[in-house]
Amino acid sequence: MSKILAVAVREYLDTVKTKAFLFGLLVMPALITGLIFVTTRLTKQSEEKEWGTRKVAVLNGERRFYAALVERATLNNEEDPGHSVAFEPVQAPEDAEAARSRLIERVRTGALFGFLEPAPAASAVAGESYLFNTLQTRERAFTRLLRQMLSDACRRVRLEAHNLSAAEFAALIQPVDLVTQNPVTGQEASKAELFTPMIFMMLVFMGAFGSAGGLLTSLIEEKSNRVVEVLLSALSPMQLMAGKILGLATIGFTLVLVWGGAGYAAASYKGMLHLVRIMNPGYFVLYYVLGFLFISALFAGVGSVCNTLNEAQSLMMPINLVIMVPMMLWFYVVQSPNAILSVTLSLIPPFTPFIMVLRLCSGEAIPFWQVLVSNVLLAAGVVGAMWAAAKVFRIGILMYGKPPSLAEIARWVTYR
Amino acid sequence: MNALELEQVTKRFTTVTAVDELSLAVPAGCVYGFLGPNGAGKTTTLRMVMGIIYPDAGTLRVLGSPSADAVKDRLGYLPEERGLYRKMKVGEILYYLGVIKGVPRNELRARIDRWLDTVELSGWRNRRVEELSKGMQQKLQFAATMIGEPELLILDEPFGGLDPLNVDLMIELILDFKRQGRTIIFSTHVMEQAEKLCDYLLLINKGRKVVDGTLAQIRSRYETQSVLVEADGDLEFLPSLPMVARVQANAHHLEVVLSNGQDSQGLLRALAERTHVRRFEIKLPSLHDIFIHLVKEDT
Repeated sequence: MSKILAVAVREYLDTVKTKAFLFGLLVMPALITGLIFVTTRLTKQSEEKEWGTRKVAVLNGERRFYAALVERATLNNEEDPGHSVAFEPVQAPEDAEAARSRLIERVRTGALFGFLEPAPAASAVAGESYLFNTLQTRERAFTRLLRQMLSDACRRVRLEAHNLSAAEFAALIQPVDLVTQNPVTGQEASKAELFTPMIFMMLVFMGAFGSAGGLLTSLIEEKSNRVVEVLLSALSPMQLMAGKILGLATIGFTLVLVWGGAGYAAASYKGMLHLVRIMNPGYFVLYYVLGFLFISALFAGVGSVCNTLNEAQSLMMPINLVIMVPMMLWFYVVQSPNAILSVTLSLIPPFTPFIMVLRLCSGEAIPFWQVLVSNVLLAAGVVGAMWAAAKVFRIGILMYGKPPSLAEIARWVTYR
Repeated sequence: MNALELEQVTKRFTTVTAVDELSLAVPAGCVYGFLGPNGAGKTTTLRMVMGIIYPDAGTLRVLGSPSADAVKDRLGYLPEERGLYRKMKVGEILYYLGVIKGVPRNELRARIDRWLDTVELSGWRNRRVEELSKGMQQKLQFAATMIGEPELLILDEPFGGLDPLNVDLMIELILDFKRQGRTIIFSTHVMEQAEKLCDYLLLINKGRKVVDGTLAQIRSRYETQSVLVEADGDLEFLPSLPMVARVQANAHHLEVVLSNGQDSQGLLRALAERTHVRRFEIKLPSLHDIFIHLVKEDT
């Protein structure tokens, strides 16, 4: 046991001291948070940027419509002087083409921000479709404001035709409000709720893969350095494998603790702790540990037969494909945690840790027997995978040259 | 007592039989040499002894135990393919290997000091392995093998890639180890070192034992029955003597090969009667000759 610990400690220190680990541990989450923060901030900033007053001409606008539009703009300009819009009527029904050319010229020189004209197929009522001619075609915030103003003005004209005031109309079409809430927690539903299970799953995923990936590289390093024979003269292959997996599990725990802690801190800062509390930490740790052991057994098997990372990558392909399944299905599983597909997948060992974490966070009640059975099956899967990996490990670790095919590896597993 | 016994040990890889019903006994406290051409099965045998791989058939006893697993801490192994963690510091790597060899931690510091001193690497304790020259890495590897102060030391081609100075250092360390009553097994295909160091020898080829025993035993068995002769006078009569099979002339002497079962003393008398004998030497076969002779005969 003390030998296994010595291997684990070396593995842990060796990884923790590398720059790549520090980068993954601290810089990555900081970078992701920073990126999200900066992009939302930048978008918001560009949308809030004040433009003073923008001048928009209305070519051949119907008179009542134009009046309503100006009134709507005045209301807007009083409320938000930084984003003012000034309309200018241009009436040239006989010579529309010439007027249009003059307007285009003014848009080009910058005297006008743009001009509105009825779209060619517009109906006679009040012009339901308009064309906005501008050089700043990507200014979405302005387009949105303009569309709002046009719609409001149009509605106004239509309502007046029915002798209704805007206030009367608004009262008539008042929508019904519907709030979704969880009767157990008393919490209102939010979009974030949908993402929490995904975040928990990602935590399992990154913790397990981040550290099991380290297992692969460190095994390959030991093989290509030829240290492995020296180690095997002091340790049994099982001790070596167990020590490595233990060391990397500790690394994974460090990652999950730091990332999870940062997530918890962020959630409490944002007042969203109720989202975090939907996951039972005991279950989380259980599925994480079992999932990690399962994956690291696979990685230990692969790592032991490969001499370079390139070789490992091609052998990792089928494993990666399997692991991608929960990634692709997370949305479905969160929304239908008790559907047959979700339940079935959660009972198949490689998927269990990911799918079960998703299901348990989904907020719906998961039958306890499923939690129990999934754990028993996963634990059995871990034992099986470890047993097979140990078999492959003890043969593969001393193999140099061409890596074996999957069929050969399967044959090793059946060796006595 | 024997430090190591192998009985009918066989190891097969997919298509080749690397070791074929090999039996041997290594007495405790001796230096035992594994000789054989490349691919003879030396490394495979040593790996089985170390419990790194397991035999398909046969039994072995290492330090009295049926498998190396139970006595790994009392064994030291220097593999043919040397390797250490390149990024680790010299002191750290010896500490790590000491711990997994089961050296008590309170003793380890002193041992590291002693072994670094022995292999002349004391000043390099806090340097990374990759900063060391190749020769230094070899010496560090040797110190790493010795850190557990094993009762049975197994060295696979220990002299490969060493310069003459380090070869001498290594030989000295091996003999020093033997003086402490420990057992050393090493494999080599360099016969001179084997001749110099070994009490017992084993020659294997294609996984099978060709011959084993002490150097004297092996020599007596493969004595070529020839005599080196230098004498004044006419030696033309030599080929016609009944006990002589043939005569080979060299620059300064004649090599006289005796017929089967003939005594060299008869030749000496015949020579003394007719000439003045200046040199009469019964030629001892060198290990090199025996090796080549046996391997060729085997193939």
